[in-house]
Amino acid sequence: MHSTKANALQILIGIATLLVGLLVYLIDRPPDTAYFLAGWAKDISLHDKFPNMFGHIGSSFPAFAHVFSFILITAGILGSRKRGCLFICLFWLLIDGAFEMGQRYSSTPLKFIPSWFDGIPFLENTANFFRLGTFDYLDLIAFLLGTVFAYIILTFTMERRTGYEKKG
Amino acid sequence: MKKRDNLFFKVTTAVGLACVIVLGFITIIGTGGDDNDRQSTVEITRDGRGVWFITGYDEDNLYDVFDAMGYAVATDRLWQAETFRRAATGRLAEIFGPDQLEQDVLVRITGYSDQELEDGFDALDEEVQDVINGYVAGFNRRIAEIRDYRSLLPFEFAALGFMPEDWTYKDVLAWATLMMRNFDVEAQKMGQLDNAALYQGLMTLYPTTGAIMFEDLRWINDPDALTYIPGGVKLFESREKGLSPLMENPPSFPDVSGLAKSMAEMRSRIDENLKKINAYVKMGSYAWTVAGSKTADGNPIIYSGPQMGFTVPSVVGEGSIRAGGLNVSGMIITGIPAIVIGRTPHHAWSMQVGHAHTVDYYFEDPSNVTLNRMETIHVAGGDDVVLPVWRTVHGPVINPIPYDPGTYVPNPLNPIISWKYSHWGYEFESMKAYLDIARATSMDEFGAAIELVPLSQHFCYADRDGNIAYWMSGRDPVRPYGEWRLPQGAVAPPLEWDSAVLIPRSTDRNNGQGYYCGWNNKTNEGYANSYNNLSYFFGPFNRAHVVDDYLSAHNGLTFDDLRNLALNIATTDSFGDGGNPWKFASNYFTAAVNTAPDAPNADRSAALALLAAWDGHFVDGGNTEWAEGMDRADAWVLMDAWIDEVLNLTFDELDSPFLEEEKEIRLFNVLLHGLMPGGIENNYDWYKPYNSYDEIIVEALDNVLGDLGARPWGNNERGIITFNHDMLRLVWEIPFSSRSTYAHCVEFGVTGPVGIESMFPLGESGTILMGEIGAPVFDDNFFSMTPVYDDFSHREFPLFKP
Repeated sequence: MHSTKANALQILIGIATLLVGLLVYLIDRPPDTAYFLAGWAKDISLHDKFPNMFGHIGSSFPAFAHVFSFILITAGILGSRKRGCLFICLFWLLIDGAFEMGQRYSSTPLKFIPSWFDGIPFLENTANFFRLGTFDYLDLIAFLLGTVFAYIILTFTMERRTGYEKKG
Repeated sequence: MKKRDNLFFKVTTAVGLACVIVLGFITIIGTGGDDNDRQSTVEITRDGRGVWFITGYDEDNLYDVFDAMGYAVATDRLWQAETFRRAATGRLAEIFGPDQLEQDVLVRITGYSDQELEDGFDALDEEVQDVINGYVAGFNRRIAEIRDYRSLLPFEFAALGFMPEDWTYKDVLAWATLMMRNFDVEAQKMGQLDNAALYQGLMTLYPTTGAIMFEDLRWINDPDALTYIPGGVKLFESREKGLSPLMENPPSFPDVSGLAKSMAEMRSRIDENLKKINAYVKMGSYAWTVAGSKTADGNPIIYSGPQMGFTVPSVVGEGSIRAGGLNVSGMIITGIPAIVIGRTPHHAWSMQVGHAHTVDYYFEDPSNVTLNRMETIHVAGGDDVVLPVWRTVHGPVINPIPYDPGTYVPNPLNPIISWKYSHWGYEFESMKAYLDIARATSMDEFGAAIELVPLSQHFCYADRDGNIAYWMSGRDPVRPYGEWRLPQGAVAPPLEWDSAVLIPRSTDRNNGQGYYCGWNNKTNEGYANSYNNLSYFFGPFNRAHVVDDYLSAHNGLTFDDLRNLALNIATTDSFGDGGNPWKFASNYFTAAVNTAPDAPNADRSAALALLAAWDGHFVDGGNTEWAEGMDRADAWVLMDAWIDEVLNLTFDELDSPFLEEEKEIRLFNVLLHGLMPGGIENNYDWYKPYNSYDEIIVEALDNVLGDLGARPWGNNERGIITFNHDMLRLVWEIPFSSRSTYAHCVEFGVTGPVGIESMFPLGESGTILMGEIGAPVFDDNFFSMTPVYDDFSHREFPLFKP
């Protein structure tokens, strides 16, 4: 993968989308339903003030936002070209998809979670993620849509190569 | 300078990329994926007797629901659970020492390997895995609390000086497997070996009549035996009619009596050692389900009374689950994530040990034996034992133990024997079966769930749609015609069967008589006896008659009538653990005395009069004394002694070592085969050298009247049931009766149960804590059920909310 300087626009779009995803969690989800909300974010949860504001969109939007924003942020940092973007899209689609499928067939990933995860912030929630998480086909569709949209945005925001770079 | 900039750029890019990837993973894991509206609302509350009620919403995850159940059960029964899982995983010797080594060895040989448990778990439905994982998590939640607060550690752990380890799904699967085998009629019995020893012993002593004597003592199917499915229904007819292969051409084969005896003794030692630690469970049960056509309110009513012994704490408890799409309450067994016998808003069910033929033993050639794995058993106060586990295509090698191909010399007196079990590989489905049984919304769905039950049990059923029904569960494979009372390969080339190909299910619905009932008797007329469990040879006498006699004679039955029937039958007693043998013997015994050549004398007449006036209960004084009276009826004492003496005189010539274990109930039925016209007729004249049974009967009466002396004979002879803790010994006692361990009585209206009553011994909690000076402190609910259990009063259980 050939890299050039970072693409700030892509990174900004990615972070903005990630924040919208976070907002959905803060507004749409009860504070006890996600590991990170049960901690620091519990105090700033808006769930009581605007319950179910996002309706049906709120259930699968975080899945869309996650894959979309991390593709953009990764590609933005690497300043990737077309082929690189394709690779990044595929990478995050597979990662998100694999975790979702892990909730469907939880016994398999649960076998491989090491005991030292216990007590380490976030990692300690890995077992609960697979055990308690709800598999949803709509999330898989959201991942796919997020990936496609991310690739489209990447192609529009990709910086043109200079003559110097072409000579390389 | 440019080079340094380029390096800086690469490093910052790599760091940034790594941060993004880590953040990506963290945001996935930290959001809990997308369990967008999963918020557990599951709660545990308890009633005044400590019985737990788990409540929540239908949307609640089964994991959370069974986490709550696991937590509640672990809070109540952690020590009991510890003994159960150690019994199931072969780890008793690790804490109890060499006394428990035999159980550990046997369970490791006949149990599943770690890999098989893993594979079995992986093959379960996702929701069943959730049930087990949740239950385990609940157990471990309680164990974590105990680690944090040592004062919560149960007394027994403290006494033995160890902390409980976390539970795993393998513990649950291993215990579920052993528990079901405990309640399968043949799984842990070795009747075919005993039969072989009996046959050989008879042939040795009686070369010309041994074969027909064996046929009489091990009859295949008695059509006169009382059945759950009435009316001569033959859902499957055993093909063994007329002369068996043994009688046609009596074979000779090596003497296995020594082997059978030593294996029986080993089984007996294991049972006794398990009793010492309260990890032994007894088999037996009664139940009845009565249609609206026979009840006062027109509602079906069901009563279930499983007889599982009297351990401390009780092997059973009670609970209610109304969450996660389940709405069920009833009997629980520690360590099993299920309501085992229970009721829902739609239906209720019973379970009693059935008699499907599930086990066969095979004599094996050494070339068929392969090493499956090596196991190491830790022994407290001793060296580790390394155990090789060998198998053949039929199953685990259970003789010799341990098998060693390096030293084993083929020996007809000590053959290689494997154990083939029809439920092998199906046993983990039990969890799915329990779920489906609880969630059934029709009789058909309930019947479909029965197909998954991997042990042989009679199920009685009633529902709000007005149905009553009956099934016998278990996998009884289709076998080719041959001699199945003996081990395969003993007298002929071994015959084979496929556990996937089963004989038709024994089941019936809404019969004409308006009830199904039983007390571990025969399922339907065509069904053969259980060759591996000699207590399940069905003849004219079976204790179940006391239930059938009552139900057939009464109509307009109320809830109270059918609940109180339990006390009625539990106060009958015999060598069959209940029932009234006199009903079957009275005509023949009375006629023999009245027609005796030396004429009836005053003592004989008084004896007959005493028996004629008897109400059939072993407790003296009528129904007001049944619950707590301590005297046995003199008539019962006379009846028991008289029949016993008749059996002694009739079968006196069988007084040889291989017949020591012959049960009186089998011999009584052989006697009835000789006395009763029609039905099975004996091939051998067992009354010889007397001239007739009548001669024996009269002599026996004279003998017992002489031995008994003057009345009264039964004062303060009722006996007691003792509850012995494995360390503290006697903690409770109640008057003896042939009673059940758990009981529930449920009446169904059109919208669901309109009456539920239940009871079980001692209390919901089995927790004893260590007091300040090391003295045991019993939990408040340790004896909470005694006020309703001890006198059979039952207690009302909350109805289902609409």
